[in-house]
Amino acid sequence: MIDGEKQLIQDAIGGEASAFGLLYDRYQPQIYRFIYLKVSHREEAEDLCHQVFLKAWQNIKTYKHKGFPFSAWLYVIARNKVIDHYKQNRITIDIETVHLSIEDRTADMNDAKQAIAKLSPIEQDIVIMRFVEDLPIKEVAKNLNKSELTIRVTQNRAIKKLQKILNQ
Amino acid sequence: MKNDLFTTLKGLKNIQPDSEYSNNSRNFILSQTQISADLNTDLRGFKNWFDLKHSLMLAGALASFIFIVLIAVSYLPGNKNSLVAEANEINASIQVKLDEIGYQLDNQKIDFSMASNIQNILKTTVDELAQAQEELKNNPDKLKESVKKIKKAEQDIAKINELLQSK
Repeated sequence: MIDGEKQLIQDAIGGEASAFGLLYDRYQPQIYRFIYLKVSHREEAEDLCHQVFLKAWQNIKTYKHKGFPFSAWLYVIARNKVIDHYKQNRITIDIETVHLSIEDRTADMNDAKQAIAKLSPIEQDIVIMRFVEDLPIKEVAKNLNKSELTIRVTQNRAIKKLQKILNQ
Repeated sequence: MKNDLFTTLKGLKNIQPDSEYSNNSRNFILSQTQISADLNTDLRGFKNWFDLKHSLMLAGALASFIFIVLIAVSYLPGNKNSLVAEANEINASIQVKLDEIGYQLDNQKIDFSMASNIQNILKTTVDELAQAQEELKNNPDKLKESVKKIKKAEQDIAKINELLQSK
C-alpha cells in the first residue's frame, strides 16, 4: 500500500480524477505485467489493462476498504478480464508464437515466460505476484482471497512445475 | 538452478508498459465522466466512439464552413476564382474521406491504441481547420494560407484512412 493511499482512495471515490491518476501511476505497471504474462501479447495486454483501469474508475464509488490493499481489487478485475478474454476469443496459448519484446533480452527470460504460460491460472497468479512482483505471502493471499497455507502449497507446486518445464 | 529461476523470474519485473500507451490510456480514463466510462467499458476491443464521431463531425463542419466563407470572400476585389475552385475540390475530398472513416469505424473493431492514434490526428485536423477559419474571419485576404491549411487537414485525414485500411 502506498503512503496516503487511504486518503487517495477516498478522494478518488469523491470524484477526484487526479487522485485516481496517482493510483493508476502506482499500480498500472504491475497490473499490465500481470496481464501480459498471462496473455503473452502486448497489444492485448494494453487493451485489457486499459479496460481494467477504466472499469475501476467507473466503479470506484462502490469500492469499500475491507482491510485488503487497493491492488487486490485491481487484481480481481484483471483476472476476470483475462478470463472473459479467453472465453470470448477461445484462445489457447500457442507457445511458439509468444511475442518477443525488447524486454526479452535473454533466452532465460523468454523461456520463463513460456513456462509460466503452461501453469494453471492460479499457479500463474501466485508465481507472478510472489516472484515477479515480490509481494509477501500475506498480500498475495488477500489479493487472491485464499489462505496463506494455500498460497504456500500452490507456490511450491508451481515452482517445481516450472523447474521441470525448464529442465526439459 | 532454483536460484537462477528466481533471479530470472525477478528479471521479468523489467517488463514495462509502453509509455505513450500509458499516457494516452491514463489521459483518456481520467477525462471520462462516470457515465461515459460506463458506456465505454462494455465495448469489446475498446473503441472511443463518442469522441471520435464528434471529432469527425466537427472536422466536416469546419471544412464546409471554411468553403462557404471562401465563396463569400471571393466576391471581394481581386481574382480568387482559382483558389475558391481549389478549396471546393479539397472540401469535397475531405467530406468523402470523413464519410469513409465514419463507415469504417461503424464496421470495424479497433483497439485502444488505434482509436487513440486516430483521435490525436483528428484533434490536430480540427485545430488546423479552426485556425484557418479564424484567420479567414479576421483577414479575408488570407485565402492562400487558409487553402494551405485545409490541404494539410486533407492529408491528415488521408492518414487516418490509411491507418484503418492497414488493419
